[in-house]
Amino acid sequence: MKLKNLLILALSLVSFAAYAQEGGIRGRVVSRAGRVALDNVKVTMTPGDATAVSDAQGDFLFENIPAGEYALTFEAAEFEPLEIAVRVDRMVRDINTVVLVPAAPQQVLDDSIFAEFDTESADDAQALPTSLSASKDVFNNIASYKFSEMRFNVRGYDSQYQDVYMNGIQLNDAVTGYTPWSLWSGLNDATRNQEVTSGLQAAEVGVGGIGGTTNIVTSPSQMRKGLRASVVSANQMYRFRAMVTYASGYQDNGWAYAFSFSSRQGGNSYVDGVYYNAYGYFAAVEKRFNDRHRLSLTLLGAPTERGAQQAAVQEAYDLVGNNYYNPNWGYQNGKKRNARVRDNHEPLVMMNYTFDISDRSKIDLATSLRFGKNGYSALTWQNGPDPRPDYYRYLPSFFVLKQDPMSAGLYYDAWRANYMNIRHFDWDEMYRANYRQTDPEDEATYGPGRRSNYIVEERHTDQLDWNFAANFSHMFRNNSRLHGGVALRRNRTEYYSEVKDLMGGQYWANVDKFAERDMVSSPISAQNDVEYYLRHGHAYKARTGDKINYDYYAHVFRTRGWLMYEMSFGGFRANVGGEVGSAALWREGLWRKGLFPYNSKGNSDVQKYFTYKVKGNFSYRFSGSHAIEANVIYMQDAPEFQSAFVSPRTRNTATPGIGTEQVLGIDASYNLRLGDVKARVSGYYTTMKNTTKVISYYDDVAATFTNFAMSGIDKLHFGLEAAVSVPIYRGLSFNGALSLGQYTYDSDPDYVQTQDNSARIVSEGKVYWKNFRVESSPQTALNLGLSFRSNKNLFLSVDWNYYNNQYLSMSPIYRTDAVIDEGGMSMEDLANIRRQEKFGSAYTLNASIGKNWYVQRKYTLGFSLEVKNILNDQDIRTGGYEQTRIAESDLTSSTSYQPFDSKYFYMFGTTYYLNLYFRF
Amino acid sequence: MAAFVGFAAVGCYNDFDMPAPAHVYTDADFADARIMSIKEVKEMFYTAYPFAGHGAVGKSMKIDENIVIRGKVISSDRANNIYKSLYIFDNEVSDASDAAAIELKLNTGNYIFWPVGTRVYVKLQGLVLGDYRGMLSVGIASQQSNYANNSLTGIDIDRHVFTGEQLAMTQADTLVVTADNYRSVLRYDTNDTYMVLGRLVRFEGVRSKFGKAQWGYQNTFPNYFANSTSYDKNSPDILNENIPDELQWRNIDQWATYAAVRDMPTQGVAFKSTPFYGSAWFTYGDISQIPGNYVVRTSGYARFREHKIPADGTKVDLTAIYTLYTGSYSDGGRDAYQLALNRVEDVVEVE
Repeated sequence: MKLKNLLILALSLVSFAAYAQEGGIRGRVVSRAGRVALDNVKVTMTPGDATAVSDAQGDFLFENIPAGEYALTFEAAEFEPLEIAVRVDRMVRDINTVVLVPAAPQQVLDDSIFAEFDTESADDAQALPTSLSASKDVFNNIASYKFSEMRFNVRGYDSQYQDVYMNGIQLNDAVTGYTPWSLWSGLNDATRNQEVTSGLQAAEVGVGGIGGTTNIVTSPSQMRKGLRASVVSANQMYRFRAMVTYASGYQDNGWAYAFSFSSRQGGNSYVDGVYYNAYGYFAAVEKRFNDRHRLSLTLLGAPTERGAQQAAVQEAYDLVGNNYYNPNWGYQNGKKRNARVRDNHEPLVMMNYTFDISDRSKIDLATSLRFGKNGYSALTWQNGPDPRPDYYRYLPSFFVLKQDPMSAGLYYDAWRANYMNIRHFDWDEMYRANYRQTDPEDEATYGPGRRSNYIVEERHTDQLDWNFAANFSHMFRNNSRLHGGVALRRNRTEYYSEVKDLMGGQYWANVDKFAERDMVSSPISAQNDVEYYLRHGHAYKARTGDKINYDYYAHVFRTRGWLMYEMSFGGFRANVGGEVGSAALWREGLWRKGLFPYNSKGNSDVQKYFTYKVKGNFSYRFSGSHAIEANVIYMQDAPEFQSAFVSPRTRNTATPGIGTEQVLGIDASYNLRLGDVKARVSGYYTTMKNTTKVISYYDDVAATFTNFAMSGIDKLHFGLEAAVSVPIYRGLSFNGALSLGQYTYDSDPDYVQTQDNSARIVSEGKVYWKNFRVESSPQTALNLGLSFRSNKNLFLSVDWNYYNNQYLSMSPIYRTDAVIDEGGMSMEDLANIRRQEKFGSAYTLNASIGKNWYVQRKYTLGFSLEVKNILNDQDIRTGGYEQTRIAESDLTSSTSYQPFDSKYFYMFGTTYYLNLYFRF
Repeated sequence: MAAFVGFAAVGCYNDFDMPAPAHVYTDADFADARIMSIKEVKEMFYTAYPFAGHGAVGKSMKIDENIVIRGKVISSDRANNIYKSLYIFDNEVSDASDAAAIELKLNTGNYIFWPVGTRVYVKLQGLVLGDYRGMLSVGIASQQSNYANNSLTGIDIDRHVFTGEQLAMTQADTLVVTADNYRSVLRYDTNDTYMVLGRLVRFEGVRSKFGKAQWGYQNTFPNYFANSTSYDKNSPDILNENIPDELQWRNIDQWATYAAVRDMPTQGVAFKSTPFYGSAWFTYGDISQIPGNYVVRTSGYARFREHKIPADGTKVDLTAIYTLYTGSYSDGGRDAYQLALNRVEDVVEVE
């Protein structure tokens, strides 16, 4: 890096003769290895923000620019970004050769890194870091990659606050808002071209929010020409990955194309029962009709099947003897089988059209369609004891609470010895039970056949997501710029469950087992599909692949229009603008549910929301080295669909207190760039107001299944970020980053708890958690690292990371007046239940090494090896959540309750990731 | 590339073979044990703790010997009325009068694993026979003084309960009682009344009765019981706006169901959905003494809890598990013979 910059500076100091009377800059971009010309390098000139792209010979040119000092930024996939200063007089200055250095052989993140965290209560997608992209920002680069081991969220934001685009279309999930990385999971090469902004900075493709913006560019002409192939051996998420990618670059006939395939296979070294059986495919074609018109078509998909891990209580981990126990699997005929398998294949097809109206104006049109299947399997059963191995009644602590030390001892010994595979599902026994299900009562109702008591169901959220975006930009003569666009989104997501495996039975009766138990007055109450029942006199006999339990559409229709105006004079630069839009959400029930015959089928009322954003980015550059910036945003957004309905599985009722959410974000930074010394210090302050959340759970006090709807949840996030990168000596650099934040709940939200079966109110009031901490991310994180890059393409790095102030995700139920009051518990007991658990601090040591070789100045062969958690600390909690249920205790004379134990995730011990690659 | 194509063929993560059917246990599997009839086991217990005079109530006996009993399942918890119990009936005896049944204290959902008619073997070694208010059952040692034994846990079930072949139910599996023979068939006032307890009994021509009994606790029927309190038609109203007037206790005679669930006022939450046991009275006519009077006791969790009890005076044939609830430790004056329905269809109106 240092050597490279010295070279560049030396080159840029040499000026050559002018070719014309107007000022300009020309040059040629080459790679350091072999001095090969690099095409498609994006060159940005500031001030003025003019851009140019190097041609097949690596040449670029800026013309008609006023005399003055300019900064040129060079960006290309797989190369280190480079910024150089150039002084221009009244002639075209040729800076000759600009040498780009290949980026460090660092693995680019894919979502699989976080995939082990899989729970229903603490949704795994929600726990994704907000910045997965390899940002060029010195802080975000460390935060998004090096802190990812700890499920670190930049500034504590959930993933829906990061806007992720592909080719100008925002693809955050329409129903949940989550980032959509899983759509192209494993297609790292094909999605490597990313335009990233961090924090509150606006992007080229939209106003952006508070968590940064990533726009993935898949246009084949922008991809690095040539073939590349890589093979990975690893033990963290999967054992093996292979990937092959080819990009043609522009052909003489104006066509460019690219394709990529990948596969990830196998499990990991720590958790049993998990595996990847994942593929990725990508194909894109682009036609340049002339200098002004380009059309491209992209198709990608990532059919992925993976076995999931479930969090467990510490008692189970202790009994098993490690913190990676996974209760999701058991043996079937001696082979491990996981009940919880994610199986999704959601292809994305996209068309883009670019019209360069002039050198100063352009229009981009884009449309996309996402479709396919997204399922997540789970074991379900009609009756009988809970088959989950770690169900609380099967752990020794349950018998202790029941004052039965003999059984407690029996279970303790059985768990320790894994007696009869007590730690796991007993698939064989469940099959055998199903073999016996020929009850005459069932035969009278459903006809002959074995009615399964146990099945594997697959819960689906199958999206049809159509997007359209039209963006334009125009640069005025004074080099200020206006850019904006309109976007439409229409999403219809079908939620349903289907029979995946009848497990030795012949059918599953489509009835609601909770309603069947609780609402016995009429068999209609228990019907998931009343109309079928009325036609046939019994519930549907579902076979493999048939829908069961619930079936409804989530409809979302969103529009928005945005406009940003960018100007600069002297060192000052401002980018101001805003967005207005609308969101319409409604539920469409496809079945008439027995419990709610008049409020379950057909369309609900449409919830309409007005959304807007106002944003300002301001910066002042004192010199090439020092700059400050300040950003502010205020935005109002619609709630996500899943919060907007109190029990979308069953009925059309809107969540009480549902409304728009308001976010205010402010940050300010100081940036230093002194040669190769880079540093940033930022402060930020964010409030999120009036968010809504619905939790469904079995309430042990009211003895019924309930929906707990909270509204008016406010959060306050503020803190400090600092990062530095300093060359020390001959390729050795120091890097460091610090994130000091405080993320708290800033209100006591209102809640209404209703009975799922009847919609009656069980209790209502406030959740007392103001000033409690927001969960998920460590609120303190520190990185100290050394990296070394030799001039022989050897790269080494070692990093020490420290984390603190991470908190357990809270169950709001424990923090209401309603709960746990029945037995007259003491204030001390209540205070204990309501306390929030803080995890202990933790540190890790990671290292990586990489080297590549250039063969005949044409081929590149290389490897990278990363070893994480070298200290092999297996007691680092990375997350967890309180369970919603509470258990009755016999230990006291009066009835008392205590919460079910919390569940936790742990960081894996030492892992490695070895990548061998070849490209030309 | 070849490797890429090669692993693409890998796809065996979810190929699972169907497990073979479970082993069907027979006597041969217990060759090393002593197979005793249920009658003999009951006799063993009641020899140590005589049934007469209620001396056995609350007593327990741990079995150390390698004894196995076997019997055909005659109960079903499918309707959620019979709870955590499995009644097995052993008529593999030379004399039909020696046929006997016993309660196994197991888990929920027993009908899934042991449907009616299944032959079940129970290894008694390490288990505990216990008498709870006159009813003998097989369980594990109880840590609580008010129970003679406890339900088997999952591990205990794996170790002690073995499934044999599926048999058809026959007429011999049901003891038939009529107005003419109930005293002798049900062995009232004998020292081995326990022999018929736990059996599936069909009471032919028995009549539903609403009103105050002159035997036992002299309760008023139908009545409903939860949280240590019994409610009959003389009880005060439930103070809960969710309960309409016609469902108040005082109107029991109009709505009487086998059991009930009512939303009871509860601190903290607006209501607590509370299941009430229901007690319905059936009689052969002589309402002054215990013999000939039976209480159909139904769980508030039973799926048929909202079915109406046959109206006062209705004559029915009723098939149920025959049990005893001893009201007093000192004499039998407050005993009640309770009937547990497997399913509501086992009550058939005959006139």
